[in-house]
Amino acid sequence: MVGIVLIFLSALYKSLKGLWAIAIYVFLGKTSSFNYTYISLGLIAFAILILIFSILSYRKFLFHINYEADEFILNKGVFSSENIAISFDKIQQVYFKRSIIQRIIGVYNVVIQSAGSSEKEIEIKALSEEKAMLLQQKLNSFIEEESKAEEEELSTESFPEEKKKTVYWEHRLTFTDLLKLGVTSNYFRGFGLILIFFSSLYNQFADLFTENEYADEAANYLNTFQSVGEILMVLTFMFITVFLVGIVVSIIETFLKYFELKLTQSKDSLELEMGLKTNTKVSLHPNRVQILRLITNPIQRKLNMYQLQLSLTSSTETQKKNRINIPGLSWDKATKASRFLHHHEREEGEVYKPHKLWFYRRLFWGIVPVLAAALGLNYIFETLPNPVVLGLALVYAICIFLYQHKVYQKINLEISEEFLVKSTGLWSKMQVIIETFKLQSISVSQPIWLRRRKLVNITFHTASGDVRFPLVNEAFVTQVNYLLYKIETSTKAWM
Amino acid sequence: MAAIEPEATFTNKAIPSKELPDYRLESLERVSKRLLSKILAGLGVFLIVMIIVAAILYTRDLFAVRYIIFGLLGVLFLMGLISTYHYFAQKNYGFVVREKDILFQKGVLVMRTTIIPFNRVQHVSTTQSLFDKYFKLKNVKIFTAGGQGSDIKIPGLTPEKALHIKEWIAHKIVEEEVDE
Repeated sequence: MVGIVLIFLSALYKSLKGLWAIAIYVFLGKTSSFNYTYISLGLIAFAILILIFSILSYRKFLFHINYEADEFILNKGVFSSENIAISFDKIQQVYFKRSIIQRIIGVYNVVIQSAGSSEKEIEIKALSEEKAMLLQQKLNSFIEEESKAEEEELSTESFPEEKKKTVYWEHRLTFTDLLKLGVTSNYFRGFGLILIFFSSLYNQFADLFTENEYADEAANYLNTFQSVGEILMVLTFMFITVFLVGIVVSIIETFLKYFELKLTQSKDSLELEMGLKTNTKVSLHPNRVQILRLITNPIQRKLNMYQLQLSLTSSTETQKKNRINIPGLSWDKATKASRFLHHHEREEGEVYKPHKLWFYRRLFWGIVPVLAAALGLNYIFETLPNPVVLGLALVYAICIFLYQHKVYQKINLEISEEFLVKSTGLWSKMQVIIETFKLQSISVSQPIWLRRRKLVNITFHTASGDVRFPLVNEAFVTQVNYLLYKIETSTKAWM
Repeated sequence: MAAIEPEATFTNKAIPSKELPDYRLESLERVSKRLLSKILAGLGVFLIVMIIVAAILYTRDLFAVRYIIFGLLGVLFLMGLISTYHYFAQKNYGFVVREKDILFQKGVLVMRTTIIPFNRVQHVSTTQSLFDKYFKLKNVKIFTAGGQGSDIKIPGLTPEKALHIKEWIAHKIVEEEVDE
């Protein structure tokens, strides 16, 4: 009964939210009393309909526990119906949630959470206290049984060492390390930050500027430059300033984010602590890491600095910090850390590259639209003589060609016994490393225009994001079969 | 090896077995032809609503007749497009339930095949809309811990088949646990 009230209220609330336009019309519009009676009648009819709907949806909302199959089963839906079955061991958490209305009525909102996105959880809106407790208890007893079994396994092997808590190795970022990192990190980021900063500043003071005489003065100042050479000099000067400011911003950002970074490994844990403004403290467990990225650029590589980026499974407590960056690791420590986080040693495997078509396609999109626009504009406004434009176009095309060619050279996918490694990047190089048994599923897509060429795009799905690899030959299918075989024969817990 | 490591490492190439079952060789099961009827019925209802709206507009004299006719023609044209799309979509839906995984294929211009191993399935649900009920159809949804792209929704199954698939997967999930 209480359930009906709650469903009714929430349904009413939802539909009224959709009808706010009418409400405004009623209150603000020039409505005669004649209209009022109609509207109120309509509203009453509407409310009755929703009440009927609520009663029906209450009666159709049925759940039970199937002890034979160890499943929680839920049926719901009035017009359309849905049947959901979750087996106990897939349930991550059972918890209560109460809104004000639910508090007043004295019911509980039970949420049953399984791995994956929040859309995939089940909500039971109104359960009486005893029923809610009973359900939680029942489900939790099953969950705990399993986690206990797991814990026992763990504790037997790790207890003797646990007491000593010997630190195997430690990684700290010193002041100079932070400085080095800041200087060698991606300036474009810093540059972007400045742009954002100034554009917001400009927006705030735009009104001031328009009335300011400084603007005119600046324009006059610019006009005083007679020769092209002077303008060029000013431009280079500006460029250098922006570049330098970019570096400074990068350094500041690095200091804020990674100040006093400390990574310690003991026998069975990897602890991370860092940050000036917000202090982050995480314990990194191998099972929670789904994707590991190893990032560096030529300068950092010379300085023996590598960045580890870990993608973790999302869970309620750490929803925001799903990606963790650990910069400034030496190659030695980076491998040590990844060795801890992975169950196997990396081995060389078969290397795949996208088809040449990928390169041609990127070449096309890099060159043609820009050149077409530039040539078109020049044709209309006739600012530059044609030979100059053609020359510039040629230089641009060659630059893009060289760039894309390099990019194409660098991209590849390596599949070994236990790992999937995608390498990309011209300047800032990145390796995306996934353990094959942590894959959730694989998608292969083929646009019909690539059917003749026998090319497919592959998407690897993991619990913390997808990794795509474009335009591989259909022969890659053997690898898909192999990966499926690896997933299906694996008995390791992926989480 | 990619140039990211400082030194070269030894090689030990993994050779994938050619004898592994090839997912492409499986013959796909098709979904029920009633799926198309269902979609056409939905479109039909939409068209009727549109005609009623047009009629009201006509009687109220709110728009000139030719605008109403243009509008209706536009709606008809769009519906023709949607119908052709669904004709091919319905033809291309296909799935195979194997011993260890389920394979689902769909697409009109881009064919997409997704394969979910049973030991990565989080839960399974069946859904049925009002139209589905009328045409005796059911959808099976299979969820994994991955993102949206990694889930499967097979539409247009007969209720028996839907139930069968669901039971099969549930059975497989439980079996998996026993193995461990």
